[in-house]
Amino acid sequence: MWLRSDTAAATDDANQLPDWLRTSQPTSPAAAAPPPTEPSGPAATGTGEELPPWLRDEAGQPLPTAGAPGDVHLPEWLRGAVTEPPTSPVSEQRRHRPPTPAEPVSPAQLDWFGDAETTETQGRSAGESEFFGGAELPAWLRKAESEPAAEINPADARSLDWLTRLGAIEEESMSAATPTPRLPPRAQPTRSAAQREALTLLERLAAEPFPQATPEPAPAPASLWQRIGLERLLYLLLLVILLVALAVPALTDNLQLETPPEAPGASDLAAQINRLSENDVVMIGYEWDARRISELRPLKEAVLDQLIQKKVKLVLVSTDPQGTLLLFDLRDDLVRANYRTHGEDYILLGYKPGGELALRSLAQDFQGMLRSDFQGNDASEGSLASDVQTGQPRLTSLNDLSMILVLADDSADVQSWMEQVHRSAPQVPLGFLLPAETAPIVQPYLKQQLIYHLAGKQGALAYQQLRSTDAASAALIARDVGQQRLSILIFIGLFVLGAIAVGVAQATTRRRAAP
Amino acid sequence: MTQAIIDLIAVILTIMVLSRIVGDNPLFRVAQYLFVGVSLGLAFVVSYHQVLRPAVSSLTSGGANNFSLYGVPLLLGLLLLPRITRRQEYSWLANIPLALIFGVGSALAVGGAIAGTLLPQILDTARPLNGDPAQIIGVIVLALGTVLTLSTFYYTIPQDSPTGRLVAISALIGHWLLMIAFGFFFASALQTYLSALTERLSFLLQWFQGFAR
Repeated sequence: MWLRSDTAAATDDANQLPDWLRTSQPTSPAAAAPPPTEPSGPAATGTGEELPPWLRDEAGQPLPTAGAPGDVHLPEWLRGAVTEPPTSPVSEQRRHRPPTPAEPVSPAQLDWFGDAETTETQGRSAGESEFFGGAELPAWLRKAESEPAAEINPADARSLDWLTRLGAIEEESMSAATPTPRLPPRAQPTRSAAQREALTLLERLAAEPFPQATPEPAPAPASLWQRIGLERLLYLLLLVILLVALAVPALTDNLQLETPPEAPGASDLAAQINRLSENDVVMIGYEWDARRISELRPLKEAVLDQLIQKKVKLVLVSTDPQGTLLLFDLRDDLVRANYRTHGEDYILLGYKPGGELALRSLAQDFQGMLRSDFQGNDASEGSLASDVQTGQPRLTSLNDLSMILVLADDSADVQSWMEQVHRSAPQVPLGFLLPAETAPIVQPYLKQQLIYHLAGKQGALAYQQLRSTDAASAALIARDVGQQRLSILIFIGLFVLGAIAVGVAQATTRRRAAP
Repeated sequence: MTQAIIDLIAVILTIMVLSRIVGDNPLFRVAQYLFVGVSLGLAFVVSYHQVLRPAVSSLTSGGANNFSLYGVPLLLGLLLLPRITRRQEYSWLANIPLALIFGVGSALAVGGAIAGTLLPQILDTARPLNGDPAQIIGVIVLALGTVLTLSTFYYTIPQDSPTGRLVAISALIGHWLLMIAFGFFFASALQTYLSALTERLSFLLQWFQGFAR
């Protein structure tokens, strides 16, 4: 009805237009509007001819319920809400505005259709709320509760702040671009005290993500005992006692036992070296450095000095740069023992780079290795490597050697010599002079046939004991043995003392902390 | 005179190293850096005199054999030099000698380990039971210890089965065998370090006694 009055008013307005505008004006808005594709209201069902077949009886007459609304047979509480005319400001404006000739009014484009549907939905939901109001609904039918605000870490808070500012800018630009009617401000949700506190915390974290460092309380001044520490005190005690024992050798007299020092492998090695003569050639590998000089120098003095005394021919080689330097020290000993140079009594091959590669090439081409000594001279033509009378080479492979002796400070050296050299010449006796630290690690190699070893200062003293014939050297050995035993005893004593002190301190702390 | 200066330097450096006993200090650190620097310098000097110089002199003396013996290694060594600069256009050239070194080294290590370490040790754990009773017992203990120690590292069997419980018990025994072995290692290392300390203290004492005279 109200639509018809609007349309009539529009027709009256159109009659007041000038003639030049009337020519382009359609005769009626209804004629200009496209025909509706399907009936859209109760008015369309007013006549029986327009009804679909399923709304007619067998005689083709309309059913008694055809013209009634869909919910007329439903109970009162299930019927839909009464459709009200649109009340939004936009619809009001459109209702009072006459349709312009350029935009003909079409029923499908009317806003009241959508608004009425919305109102109907709202009414329906209101009815449902009233209906289910008294009942206790299951959780899945209740209204979703608002989720509690999650805690935001400072980094997220900063990004949130940035996003908030960005969102505000976007909103402002959008509102400036499209002028829309300004809605009344939404009512602020009521927040609990905990939410307000969380919001305050969030804002504070966004403003200051990193709190200002609070100065730590000054530590209590450490006492003299704490500054020194038990560990340092024990070290100092060990140092002082060892110094005193070294300065006054009489202190260790009681520790010099009557029985001579023993070491595994010492007697076997001594027996093997005793079989050598000045016609034998022994290759010596220097694979140690100055860090193990305290053990390997006594070993070298015990074993190599015996070889030098026996004038055994030597071939000296090293794959360690520091070992090479120590080889030059050995050369001085050889010169003092009247060993002839230029490959007559010994050959100094010097440093062979490459580690395992050098050892492999030594095992595969020993004669080729002799062609370049430490100065680049060919040592294979000397009297040691070849027979002077016949000119035939005496040293063509490792099997021509009488023995191989290696001074090694590391288990890797032992492994390399075993893997690259010994497997190429398994019939040649191989001896290792080792620090005490390395000996247990290489035990599996030392159990094999024709493998000899001597380890640590204890081994050196045991070997010296086997060689010594005079009382002076025996006294020196006894003194060294006494000092070594004393140092071990002192260490064990201080270790036990430290453990007791730490245990007592912990027990005292626990007792104080207990209520 | 020269020996006296050498001894004096050795005494000073020994005291600098021993000063670590009162805590970390500049003297100890200077000695430490000096040791590293001197070791590197020594390695360079040894490499120059023992490797580079003989190779270059042999190469310049001529001969096809010398070229293959020294020229090819020198050329491969030169290919490592592009890695010195920060420009990486030619650094790929260094990959050639490095690949050669790693390839040959790996092959050598694997071959050596199998033939020189694994097979002899496996054979050593399965010695024949002959000889005196002590030796027979030793062989049995060795074989049992090997099995028990290896079972310590057998983690994938469920322990609720009878076999799993047996493995768990043997793993426990193997664990203690390992602890005993580590105890031996520690005791041996202690001997080494106490020998080093005693030797250095003895050196200091002898020097001071000689200086006092």
